[in-house]
Amino acid sequence: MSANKVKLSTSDQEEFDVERDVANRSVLIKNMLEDLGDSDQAIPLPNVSANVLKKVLEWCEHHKKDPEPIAEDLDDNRRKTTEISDWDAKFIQVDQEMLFEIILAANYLDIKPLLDVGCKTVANMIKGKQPEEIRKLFNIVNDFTPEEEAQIKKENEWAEDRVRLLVPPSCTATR
Amino acid sequence: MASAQPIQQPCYIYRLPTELLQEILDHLDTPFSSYRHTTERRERRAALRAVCLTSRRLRAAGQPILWRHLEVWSRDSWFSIKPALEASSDRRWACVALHWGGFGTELDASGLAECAALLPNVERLVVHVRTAGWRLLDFAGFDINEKRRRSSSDGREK
Repeated sequence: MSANKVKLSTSDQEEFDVERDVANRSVLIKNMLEDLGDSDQAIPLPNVSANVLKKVLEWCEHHKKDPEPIAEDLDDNRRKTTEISDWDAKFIQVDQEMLFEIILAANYLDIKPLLDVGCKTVANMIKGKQPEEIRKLFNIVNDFTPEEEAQIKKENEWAEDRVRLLVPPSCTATR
Repeated sequence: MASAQPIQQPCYIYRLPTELLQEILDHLDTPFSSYRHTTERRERRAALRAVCLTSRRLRAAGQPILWRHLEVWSRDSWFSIKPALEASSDRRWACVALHWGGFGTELDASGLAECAALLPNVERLVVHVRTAGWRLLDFAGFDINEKRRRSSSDGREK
């Protein structure tokens, strides 16, 4: 095998020959490659099936030239926006089974930016919906009793956002 | 898949472990600095509250995020948050950032002290000051650093 290609083996025994740049988007694979050195051995990915890996590699191929994300930046920015780039938004237009498989695979393969795309997509699906609509969307069974539901509603009343006046300059205190 | 009826459609979201459910709901979190006064903030809080009413599993994942950044802006809001805080020790641990909104009354210092005592995990506390009474906070063992900054740039987390 050429030095620029690596072989990946899926849970359903399919093998993929992948450019090293593409495979390196996965921190898990990158680390494994560094440990293995120059080897022709296929890297086993027992938690990923061929159809999911194919999709994940499509993302890695498109993003192979992206600069390495800086861990801190990523953590700081990820919660601030639920925006997704046009290409990623189109890429993630898949059925729910595939969507959650991609999230699982991105987590296992340690591809943070792809994990974020998946998670943001699901968060956006949830936004603006009532509990019953969320259940319907994901086929979730309501396992609360009516009493529990009423109780939780009451307990979380405080979290309802009220309109606030502009706040004055502040001081900070730490302990 | 766990389901009550045999004809129930598969629930794919339940294939995710709780950590990944939380990873999703993290994107509905409202760190103070970025979401003040915005509809985005309101939408996110409403979505988190809805998630908590969906099912036990989703509530377990969502409830701590609802508590993560706590903001108390008035007497009324403190009196509604207090019983909820006292009722559960889980929630006390979930809160990592507290913004206290200077109501300009004596309740300010005593209420904040009470609130802070209920929150063992708070790493960041921002007090929004209206009167000079905040110096009373010294008694609670806080190290006060006055930072006069424009209100638009204050309160950045961490």
